[in-house]
Amino acid sequence: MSYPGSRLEVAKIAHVLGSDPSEFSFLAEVPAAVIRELRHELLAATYRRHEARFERLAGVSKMVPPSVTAAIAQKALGPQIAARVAGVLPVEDAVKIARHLEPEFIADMAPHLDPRRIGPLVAQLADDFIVDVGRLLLRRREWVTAARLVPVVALEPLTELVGLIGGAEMLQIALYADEPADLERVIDLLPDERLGSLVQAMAISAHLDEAVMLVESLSTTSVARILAQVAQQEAPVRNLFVDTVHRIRAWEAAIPGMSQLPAETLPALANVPATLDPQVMSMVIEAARTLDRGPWLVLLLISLDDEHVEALTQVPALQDPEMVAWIVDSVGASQRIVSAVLRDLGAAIA
Amino acid sequence: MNEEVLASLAGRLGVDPERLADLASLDAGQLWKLDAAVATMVAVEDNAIEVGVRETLESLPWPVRGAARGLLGMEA
Repeated sequence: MSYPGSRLEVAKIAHVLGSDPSEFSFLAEVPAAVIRELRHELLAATYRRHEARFERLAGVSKMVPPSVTAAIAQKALGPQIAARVAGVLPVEDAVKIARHLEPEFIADMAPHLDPRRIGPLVAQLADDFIVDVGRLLLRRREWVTAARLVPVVALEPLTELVGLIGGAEMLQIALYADEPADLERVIDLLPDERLGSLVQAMAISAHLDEAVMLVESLSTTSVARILAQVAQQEAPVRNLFVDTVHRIRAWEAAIPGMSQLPAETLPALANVPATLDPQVMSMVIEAARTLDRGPWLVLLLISLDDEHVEALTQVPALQDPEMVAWIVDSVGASQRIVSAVLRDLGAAIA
Repeated sequence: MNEEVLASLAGRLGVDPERLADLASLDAGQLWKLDAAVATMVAVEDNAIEVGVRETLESLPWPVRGAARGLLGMEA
């Protein structure tokens, strides 16, 4: 059995180990959180084992001017160890040295940098320099590295870099983001039409399940923006998304976002082949109740076309008198109309 | 068998084997493969450090080499 999100974590840990993810496909049988913890232990161990030595190397760097240290780092130390030493240098010293390094060398260092250690350093580098390094990482298709560095890149260079890539590349970076907040930062920078290209990339991705799972961790506003773009896609894409949300049991994450959509958007999401399945609509109704979204649920039900309304007669949740009573109660003044509509649908009205 | 390999992996990472208990669902062969990959990563990094330190010393201006060698705990 493969756990949700584990395949992406396998790719990330393989990146740390310098190996191909296929060699560790067996790790997908372990929960993603366990692989993530192991990856963090690995990264911590790389520092812990040689921290005293890295600190001594940092001490040696003080013996010569920053330009000489930079030249030696590029010529002799190499990107991997230079990245480790950068993590223990005082920020002001690291900044002076970094200003003399070639963007290509920093891009070589990037996979070995620990974002938790180098955030203050990156914050003091010129935006143009950060963009140059970012361009190189994107050109090299270093998605895992780029995603890890998102939280330490300032808004302006991040905006410029996000503007350079298409939906497929954004999806790769989103998939490998370490924290939901990192993903939210990128989503916030995307205008709606570019969010649309991200949605299209998700639809043809082998990682659609994982991508939809990421949506679960976003704010309601971001989820609503993404769903608005889904609603504008062709029917097969809309159906694919609805089916995926159902399959990975993500209705409780999707419904708050759907609730923010204008009513005229709902039919595009509600009237897809997947929602003809009574189990799907039953799960939607149950999730809406869990979230106490009765008025929205009624709005959804009345946005269904005739074929879907007919399918509602088979929905198990509407055969539960308690559930139906909740729907009727939660809509307030129009209870009689809702009761009549539900009765017409064969719901178990008391 | 799993205890042995988990202990080995924990030793390489410098953590208590208990912290890796969630990996016990993997079979011994898989754990050994993971342990071998970590061992390789550690060896590659150790080698990169040895080479990097040696070449750094050789690249330093000669007046500071002695002091640098002392700081790095290396014999002349």
